[in-house]
Amino acid sequence: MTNSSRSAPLFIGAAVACIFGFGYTLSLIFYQTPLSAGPLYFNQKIFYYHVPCAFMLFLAVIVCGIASIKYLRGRDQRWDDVSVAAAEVSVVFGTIVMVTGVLWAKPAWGKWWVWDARLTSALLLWMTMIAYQLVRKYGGAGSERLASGLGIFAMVNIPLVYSSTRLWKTNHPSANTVPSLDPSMRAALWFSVLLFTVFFILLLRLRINARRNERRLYECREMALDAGIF
Amino acid sequence: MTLRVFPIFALLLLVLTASVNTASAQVKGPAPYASEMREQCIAEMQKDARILAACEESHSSKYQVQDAKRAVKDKQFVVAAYAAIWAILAIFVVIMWLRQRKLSIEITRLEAELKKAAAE
Repeated sequence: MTNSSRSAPLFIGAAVACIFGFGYTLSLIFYQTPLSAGPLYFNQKIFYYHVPCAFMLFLAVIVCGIASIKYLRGRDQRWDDVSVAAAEVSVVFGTIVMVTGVLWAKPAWGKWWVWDARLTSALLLWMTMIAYQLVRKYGGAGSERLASGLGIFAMVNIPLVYSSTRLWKTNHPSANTVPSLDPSMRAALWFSVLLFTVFFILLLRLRINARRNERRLYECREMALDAGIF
Repeated sequence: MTLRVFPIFALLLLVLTASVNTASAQVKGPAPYASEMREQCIAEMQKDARILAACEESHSSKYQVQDAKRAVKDKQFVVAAYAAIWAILAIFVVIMWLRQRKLSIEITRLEAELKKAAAE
């Protein structure tokens, strides 16, 4: 029994739990969290997925950064696989954060985009991860080391993005908003965070498997060339 | 015949009168209560007609329409945001699944060819 076939039931179970869990979060968000606590407008409902996706962006970048350090120290391909997978997942969550952020900014602030510290630093983080993808795709030989450097740079950027609302005057609400929320709002938020974390692990695992298959295919092609099949 | 119909008619009339009374009582609302603060408030409002006008305006249909428009517009943004989230995630999962499938097919084919070449 292979490692992947042994973990398949767990993987499917987690995926099914995610589907039902996301359904439950929608019921929590739209039926059980009050708008009167603020008083808040209906656009505040975007918060319950925007913030967990931002957390997942940070988590993916941290995983990518740590894996990059491990790869640069030991040149172990398995860490490079983790780094590539986390970087790709971070671009997905970064895209979600940017799109939902823009769709929330327009009704809340009356503008699609504001060049304040939080938004600009988050955009920089997202663009760094896109740059990582481009370097890996078009960089050629040795690009994995340059990309690892970008992954570490992105990880170092996270504390700056997180504390930007405290360091500079911004339109974006600060991180201190969460503890002051109504208990039902906090419950919905943390439940979303938990589900997105499980979903992030599933995506990462899938992408790592795909990356390992890509390497296996490369090895198979090399062997086929040596055997004169091509 | 008239004697038989009369009690039913009287009962109907009684029910109708009672319901009309209840409805009118609901429209009227509770009777104003007496309080020192209430009198003070009325006196203050009578001093400046603009306060009363501002209060009345805040309850006018203009503001209700404005709020309703904002609620509808907000709903569109919320729907768009949630649709975008699910669309991005679904596209990523589908792309990953297709890529994985293509890789598996290619690996199986190459491995079979390598085995065949080794056997020959």
